[in-house]
Amino acid sequence: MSKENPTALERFIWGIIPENPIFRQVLGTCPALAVSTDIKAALTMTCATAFVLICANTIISLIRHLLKPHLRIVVFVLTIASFVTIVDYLLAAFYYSMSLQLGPYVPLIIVNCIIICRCEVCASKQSVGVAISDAIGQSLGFGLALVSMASFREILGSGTWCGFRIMPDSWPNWVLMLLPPGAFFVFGFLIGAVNWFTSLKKNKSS
Amino acid sequence: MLLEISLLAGLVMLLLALFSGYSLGWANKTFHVEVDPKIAQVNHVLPGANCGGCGYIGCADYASAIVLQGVSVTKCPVGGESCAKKIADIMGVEVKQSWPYRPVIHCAAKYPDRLKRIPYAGEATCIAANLVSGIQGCVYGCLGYGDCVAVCKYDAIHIVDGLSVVDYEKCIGCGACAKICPRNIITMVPFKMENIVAIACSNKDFMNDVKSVCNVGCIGCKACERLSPIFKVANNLPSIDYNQYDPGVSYQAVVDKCPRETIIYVGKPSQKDKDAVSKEEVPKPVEAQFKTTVDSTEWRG
Amino acid sequence: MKKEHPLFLCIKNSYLGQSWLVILLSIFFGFTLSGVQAFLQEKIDTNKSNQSMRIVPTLVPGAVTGKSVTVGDLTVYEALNQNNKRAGWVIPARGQGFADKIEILIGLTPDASSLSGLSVLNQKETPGLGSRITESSWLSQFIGKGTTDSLTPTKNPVPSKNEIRAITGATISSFSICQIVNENVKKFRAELRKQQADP
Repeated sequence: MSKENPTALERFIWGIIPENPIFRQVLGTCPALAVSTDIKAALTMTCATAFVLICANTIISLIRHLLKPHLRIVVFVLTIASFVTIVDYLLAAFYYSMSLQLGPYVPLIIVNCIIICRCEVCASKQSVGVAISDAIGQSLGFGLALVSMASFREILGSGTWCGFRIMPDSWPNWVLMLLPPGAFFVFGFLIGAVNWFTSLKKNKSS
Repeated sequence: MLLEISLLAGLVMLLLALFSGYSLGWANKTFHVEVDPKIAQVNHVLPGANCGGCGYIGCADYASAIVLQGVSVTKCPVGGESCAKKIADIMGVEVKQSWPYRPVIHCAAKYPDRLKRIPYAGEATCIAANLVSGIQGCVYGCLGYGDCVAVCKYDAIHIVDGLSVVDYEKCIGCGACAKICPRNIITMVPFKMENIVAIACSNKDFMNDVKSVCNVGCIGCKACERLSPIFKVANNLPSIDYNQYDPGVSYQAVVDKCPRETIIYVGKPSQKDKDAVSKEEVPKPVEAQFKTTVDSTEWRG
Repeated sequence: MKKEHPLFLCIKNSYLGQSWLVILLSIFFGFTLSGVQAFLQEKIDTNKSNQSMRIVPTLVPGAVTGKSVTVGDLTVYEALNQNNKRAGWVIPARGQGFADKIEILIGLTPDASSLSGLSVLNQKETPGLGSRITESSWLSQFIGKGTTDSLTPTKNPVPSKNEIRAITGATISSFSICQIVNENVKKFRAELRKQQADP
């Protein structure tokens, strides 16, 4: 994974599992643990983060030649914060109930490590096309991670999936899964699974 | 109303930008550290194994030493010749041809070959066993408790039937095994080819003295010295002058002439060797038979 | 090679000159965000009041809808039953909680003599401790409490007439809710009396 200049397609593919932001890079785990109690919240968070990531990557990539080393972080954070504010307003205007449910985690997208990491690693160094496909790939990986965690936690903790009843009515809700300890258990288990899967692939190819 | 809000917002953001721009600009100037860009370039070229084989803490440390202190560029055993050449290009110096250094075990005796062994019930490390006299007949040869195995970070050396054996496919040449062997029977040798001739004995005794303690040790007959000028016998033990070692010459005649198994080829297995054993099962490494009740990795007496 | 004007060079190489991009982007984003806010603020306010409207009937027994009215200089909701008669009042209130401001809706009987319900709209208290003020099991104990005396939290498992059970580990949050209720209900009752005396 230490090529000098990966192509757009490589960036896209890497973002989904090989360099999955949550399970492989372990970045941005705060929203992953906090909002993955049900699928709708997870999907909304993914869309919000994806919007910010794609817009921020685009803008940074367009102005990458104008960035000075000692001011680049300020520019990154300024761009990201502006887009998160826009997303916050959009969410409050068009999906108010979800905005209340997500609460402080929408403004926290500003400090989501994934976004500033992609700006630093990819957008500030490569062209717009590569930056956009990197953003889309990473967002898909983020969404995959969030939805898989939310599936576990919602099915085991509430017996539903995206609001539809999955478990039989006699299922005693495993409430621990909806609380932070359950989040950590599911998180650790899924990281282990993804790492095992990736090492299998590496052994097969070597 | 919109105009007022926009102007206010713009003004606040402008003030913030002015403040941060100025303070960051000032900090950039005040806390600036001159860093030679060549250090980053050399570090990029180095293999990044951080093995310490060059004698420095890691690759970054060696890179700074090269650029700031003018240390030799050929010290990296892992990067070898290609790496030394690239560093020399960056630094603008000349570099002579160099070869990878790999360890050679100067002992060929497995457990059945070692005579006059006694049961040893002490700490199962070579360093401790070396302090006790009379564990095995030969006081020069491999003890087999695997200090070299324990110190190797790359799983490149193992004890097979009591004798340490180097896996040249995995070895990167950091030299840790050579440094730790208490009997100093591992030396780092320049491998001018993938397989070179080596002396697999360290016994400085003569004829029957050797035969009474070992089935395969060098008896000091000097047959090798007579056949080729690169072999020099001193203290009844031959040594190879690798500066004179000619990769073009075949030393098979010397290997065949040696009455004991002292002169052998070591190195990576060739395709012919691999095919010969492809059907066989690999034997499991034999553990040392002497175990203490104390965990040998932590007990320090 | 064109020689650059010395003043231009001076500005270009100064700290502020180097950060021209930051300054430009800041102003640009400042304008953009104020535009976004102006565009969407109305919709968000509508959402907020719709949210409150939805909660109003749940805080007053028999109410089916709410109407925003002014009592004195307070804007409150009048809860109406199906005959369009007053079934009670719902007053929005806010005050300082443990961490940040808490926004609540207080349901009152038509004469504002006792509480008929309590709902927490917005809080940023400690999750798991202070945030338990949103639990309906805790809020239900406010129902029926009189408004003449101030409510105080107590650790006593059997609270008296004008006491409510505090949440273990969230004394300040419990106290904040009581304080917000006391202050705002007192203000409302004063305004209501003024209006009834002088319609």
